Amino acid sequence: MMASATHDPAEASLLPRPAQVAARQPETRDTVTLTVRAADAAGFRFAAGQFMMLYAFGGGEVPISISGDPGLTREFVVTIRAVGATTRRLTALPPGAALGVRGPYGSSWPVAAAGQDVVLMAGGIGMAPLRPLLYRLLAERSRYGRLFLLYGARTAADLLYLEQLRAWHDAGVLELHLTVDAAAPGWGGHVGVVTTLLRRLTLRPDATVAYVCGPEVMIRFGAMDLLQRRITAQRVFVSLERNMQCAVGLCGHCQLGAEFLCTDGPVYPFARVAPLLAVREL
Amino acid sequence: MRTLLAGHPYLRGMTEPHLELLSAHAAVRALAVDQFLIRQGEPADHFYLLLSGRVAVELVARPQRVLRIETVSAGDVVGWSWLIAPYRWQFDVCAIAATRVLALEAAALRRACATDQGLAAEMQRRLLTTVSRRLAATRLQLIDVYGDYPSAPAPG
Repeated sequence: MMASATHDPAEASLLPRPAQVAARQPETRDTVTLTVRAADAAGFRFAAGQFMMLYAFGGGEVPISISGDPGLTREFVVTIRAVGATTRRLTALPPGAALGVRGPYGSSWPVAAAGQDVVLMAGGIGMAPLRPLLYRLLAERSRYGRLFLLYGARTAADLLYLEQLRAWHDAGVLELHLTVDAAAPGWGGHVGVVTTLLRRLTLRPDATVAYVCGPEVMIRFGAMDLLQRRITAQRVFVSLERNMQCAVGLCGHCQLGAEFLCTDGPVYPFARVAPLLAVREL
Repeated sequence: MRTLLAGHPYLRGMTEPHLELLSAHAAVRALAVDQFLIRQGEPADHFYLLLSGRVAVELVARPQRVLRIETVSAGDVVGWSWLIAPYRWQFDVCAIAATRVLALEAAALRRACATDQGLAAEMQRRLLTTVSRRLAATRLQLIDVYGDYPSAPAPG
């Protein structure tokens, strides 16, 4: 099972396509989900785990993971956290506003083989790149065994898509385990980092595939904990983040050793990148 | 009792004689929601293996300001002050769901550890594994692992 890459020259173009915000959904105090529609009729095709380059006119361009259903073709959905000048501009765009888009780019989450149990581990905004995978898994739910989502955030107010995730849990198609670092009054759930949730699961190491996304330090610890649970590094997939700028493997800003995360990644088998993540200087 | 102890993940692999010894000093306790299992400053006269439910480890930072540090669920252990002088609890532990625990008498186990080096080594090894795991988790909490990404979230 290897991550696949997009090599369509047209999609690899550096020229943004004009697009429009079709819908805007505030998620948390600093995070917004935008539905983006192309101004032309070409639509979009993407795979779970890929990312787009979004251009706020006059405000810069940033890579943003697709967070919506990969089945959508006329539009795509992104969840953006306002942490810098460009992302603040993007999160403030109202419905109808224009923006430029490039992509999709990068490798995608390889979908687990039939009969496997699946563990998704998400931290903070890392839930966004995993949601398209969830849509894919749930579209063929009967093909898989148990489906776990372990999701941690700073506080309960920072958890994304809570209503939707709980609805899936209540419907019995997903085993949802939430945790927060800091519990506000009224929070009756788990407290602690997301990696601690793994201990609560009964796993079949030889029949489990795991997907991890979040801050890099969380990915490292999360993946190592999965390995301790005897899931091999070939069965653990991670999505890495670096300073992607061109998105087509030219500028080198996102380089991790010999890897260009924008084209070789962002999704990797942990076995391939584990040695690189252990190097302090990279 | 011996079956309950043998089935608990914390004691997996414990020898028969040691399980027999522990079972002589163990009892099942049930806690209702909001009932305290441990109070900060009180003697650490037991330690607890969770059979079901969930408890919260809490610290009173100042009056009316309780910090919930972590939650502990079935299959895990609560309390290591029983093995470390001066044997007093450093945190509060409160049930946040209906909970059942195995309570093991600390003084009896300390006496047994003083005469049985094998038991002492086993208890210390298991405790150290738990402390190490909790320390790693606490470090991640401390660095605010989900904090702000760089100005260009890449991707996300």
